[in-house]
Order: sequence, then C-alpha cells, then structure tokens
Amino acid sequence: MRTLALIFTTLTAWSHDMWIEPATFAPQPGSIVAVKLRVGQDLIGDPIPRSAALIREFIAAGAAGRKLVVGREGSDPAGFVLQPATGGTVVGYHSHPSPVELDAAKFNAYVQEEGVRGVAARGPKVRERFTRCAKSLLGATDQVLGFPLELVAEAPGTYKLIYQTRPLPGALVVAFRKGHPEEKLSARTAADGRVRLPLAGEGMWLVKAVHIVPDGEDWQSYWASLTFAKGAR
Amino acid sequence: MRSLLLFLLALSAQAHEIGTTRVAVTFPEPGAYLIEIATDPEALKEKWQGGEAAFLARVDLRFDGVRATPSMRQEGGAIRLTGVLPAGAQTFTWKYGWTFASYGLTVGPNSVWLDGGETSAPIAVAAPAPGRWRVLGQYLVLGFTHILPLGWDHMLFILGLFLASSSLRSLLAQATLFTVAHSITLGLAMFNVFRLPAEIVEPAILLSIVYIFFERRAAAKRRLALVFGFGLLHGMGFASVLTELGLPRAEFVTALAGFNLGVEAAQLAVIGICYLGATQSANLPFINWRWAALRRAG
Repeated sequence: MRTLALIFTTLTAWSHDMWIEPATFAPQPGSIVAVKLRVGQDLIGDPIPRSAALIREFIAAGAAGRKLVVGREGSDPAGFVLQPATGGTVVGYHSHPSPVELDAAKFNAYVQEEGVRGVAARGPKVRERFTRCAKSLLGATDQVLGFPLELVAEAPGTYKLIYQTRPLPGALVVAFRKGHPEEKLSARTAADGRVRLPLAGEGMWLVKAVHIVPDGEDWQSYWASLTFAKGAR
Repeated sequence: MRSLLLFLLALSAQAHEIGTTRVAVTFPEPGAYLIEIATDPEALKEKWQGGEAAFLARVDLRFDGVRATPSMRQEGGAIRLTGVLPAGAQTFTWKYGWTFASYGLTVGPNSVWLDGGETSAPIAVAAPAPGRWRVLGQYLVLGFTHILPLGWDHMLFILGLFLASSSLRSLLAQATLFTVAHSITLGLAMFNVFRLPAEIVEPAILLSIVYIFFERRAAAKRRLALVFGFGLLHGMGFASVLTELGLPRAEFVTALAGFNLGVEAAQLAVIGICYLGATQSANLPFINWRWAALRRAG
C-alpha cells in the first residue's frame, strides 16, 4: 500500500464529488441537525435540494437502529437528523442511478482523474449511469450501511472500501481537508479493501473513491464518500 | 412558478444533480449587459474566498468569440456581473465553472440547462423585441396560468369567496374589490414603490385563505374591507411571481397590464366553474342551499 501526498489543483477537473455536510459534526444529544447534500470539487460546491426522484436511501443509523432522514421535497438542507442521547449518528445517502452521456475525452479524463483502472471509452460517446453512496459521521463510530460502494472508517486512519458486500482491492481512495484541497492524500486499497491514510489536521475531511463497472454497452459508476471532522468543529 | 420552471428545465437536463445556482442574463439598457448569479450564500462565500480575480477565472463570457471582462459585485446570495456590450455584438457564450451541478441559464424569456463548466451554445444578444400585442398576449397567458391551474392558493381564496357569498351580487362585489386591491399592490411593487418580503407575504396569503373559509359571520361592510385587505396581500404575492418572471423594460406597462388581465380572467373563470358546478350539482343536498341562494339573488 502506497500513500502519496498529491499537490495539484483541480480547476479543470471533470468529475464532481458528492458529499454530506451536516451543520455540525458534533451535535449535542437530542439536538436536530440540518444535513446538506453537496456536489462539487475540493469540498467547494452547491447544495443539492432534496429530490425524491434521486433518493434511494437517506438514512440515519445509530445505536437504536435506522431511521429515514426527513426533509421537505425541493428544499435545502435536504434533511434533518435528531441526534440520539448516546452513540452518535451515521448519515447515509444512496441515490438511484442517474443516466448521463459524455464525450469520450471527458469520460476518459475523469476516469484517469479518479484513478480508475481498466476503464476507457469504447466509442465517441459514452453513456453512463452514476450512483452516489455518501456517508457522514456525526459523533459516531462508523458502521456498514450496505450501500453498493461504501467507505467504512475503521481504526483511526484506516478505511475499508466495500463493493457489493465484498472488499474492493486496487481502488484509489483520496482524502483531503476542507480549505486545503492542495494537500491530498491517496492510496490504493489492499487485497482486503483496506487503505491507510494518516490524516493530519483538524477540520472537515472528505474521503472518497470511485468504482466503474461495465453495464452492457454502457458503464455504471459508483461514487463513495465519507465526511467527518477531526478535532473541534 | 419557480418549481414549475425547474421541473420543466429538469426534464431536459442530462440528469446531473440540480444545484441551487441560477444564472440570469439581461440587457437592462442598450449597450449594456447584466448577469446575475444567484446561489446559496454559504456556498458563495467559499467560492468567493480566493477574491475577484480567482472567481472571474472560472467565468467565461464571450461576445462573438471574444472574451469579456465584466465588473462584478457581490450582494447577499448573488453576484452581479456587468459590462458594456461590444459594438455590433451578435451572440454570446457563457461558461460558469463555479457550480458543479446542473443549473438554469435564463436569457430574457428563454431558459437553457447547463452543467457546471459547460459552455453554452451561442445565444443571440439582441433577439428581436416582441411586439406590444405579443407581449400583452404572453403576459396575459402567464397571469391566467398563474391562477388556473398553477395558483391553487388563489383558487382556494376565490372558492372561499364563492362559498361564503350569500348572493351573486355580493360575490361579484367582493371579487371586484379583490381585483382592485391586488392591482394596486401589484402595480406598487412592480414600480418598486412598496413591497414586502415573501417570507411575510406567502404565510399571510395562506392565513387569508384559512380565514376566508372559516369567517362567515362578518357584516357585509367588514367583509368587503377584509377582502380588500387580503387583495392587497395577494397582489404582493403576484408581484413576487412577476419579479421572478421579469418584465420587458420596453413594454413594462403592457406586460403588467397583460398579467393583471390574465389574473382577472382566471378569477372569473374560477367563479364561472364554481357557478357551473353549483348549477350542475343543484340536486345534491349539501350544495343545494348554495345554488338556491345564488339563484334567488341572481
């Protein structure tokens, strides 16, 4: 397993991350937390209003089980979570697949950018369906939610990437901190799907990975993200 | 209305997530352009952190292929880019790299759907201005459809008036007064004389509907005063819709009059439907009293 410190800007990035951004990562027990869904790059991006057409699962998992994240259709923040008295909350958002058509060059550029191996356009136009699998830790120890592609925070600095319930080896996992996008950490997962990224620095972190598989003549991509805070926030 | 526009836009979108950014291009006076980028204030702050030059680096506005350098200012959750149109400019293209989702680009009455970082097709700078009758017709339709079928809140209010009226004469008097009242505030708001924020107007409109449905005991004069007051309120609601849609500067009064006429026509249509419904349902015991009262009065 190799850890790289990448320094680059992503002004021309083709792919767009999607992540969950709560109003606070350390809510008081019993408090209600607004949860935003955001799409962007380098943790800069627009909120996405709640859309029933996109949501496959939008859940808050805690010690007492799972609840649906409630919210008003079309509104931002997309949902609200009641922080339990103990144990914190893992918020998860799993979207329905959305179709998109890209030029081959754009598709290949983003595939390369995301470090996905063995995938390339097979024609001038590429049809893809993309699925978002985002999680966020609100004062909680992570747990597996069962999303198709899922990042799970294990021991400090260790993350496991799971695809369809099995560890996914060889996938690039990237982590960076809000406000410091130039200091990216990345490594490929080992045979057991684990990757070690020694995150240093307080603030909000995003850990992400992309996996793309053939879907007939087209492609199906899965976008896993995990947000959490280190230190006070 | 906004949600309808978004829905229609979304139908043509390439299924990227739809974000909160909206971009509107207008030409407020000959030789000048104004581009308003509205977005979530918090997200805007993050994009703004690098300063003006960094922000503009991700904005690409070109007139006939030549990149423009607009002036910019930030106001709340919006950024306004302004500048002088190059002489003889025919078309422009727009690219905005600070959103990463799909967003609507509105140019006059037309909207296109773009992804973040995508360059628009060339758009005509000076589309031929529609004639006065065309503007009147367009805004008349907009006014009508804002009530029927989109304006369920206003329809409910009219229905409330209908159900609470003891005679056709009383109903028409109230409807007329409601029309006069909302015409006043709509006009005042559109001429920027007076307006209230939507956060106050919209809940107050809802309260007015609830009130008109349950208030049955008010004396005739007091009821007329109430309807007039509620009309003033609904006029401000119409104003916020019309502000979103925009009014052509060259035909401002024509468009305003057209919208108002459309609203009035729709109101009369709602009353007509109610009246027809009452007529057709005259034998039903629960509505018979209403029809009987109207027939006596009519």
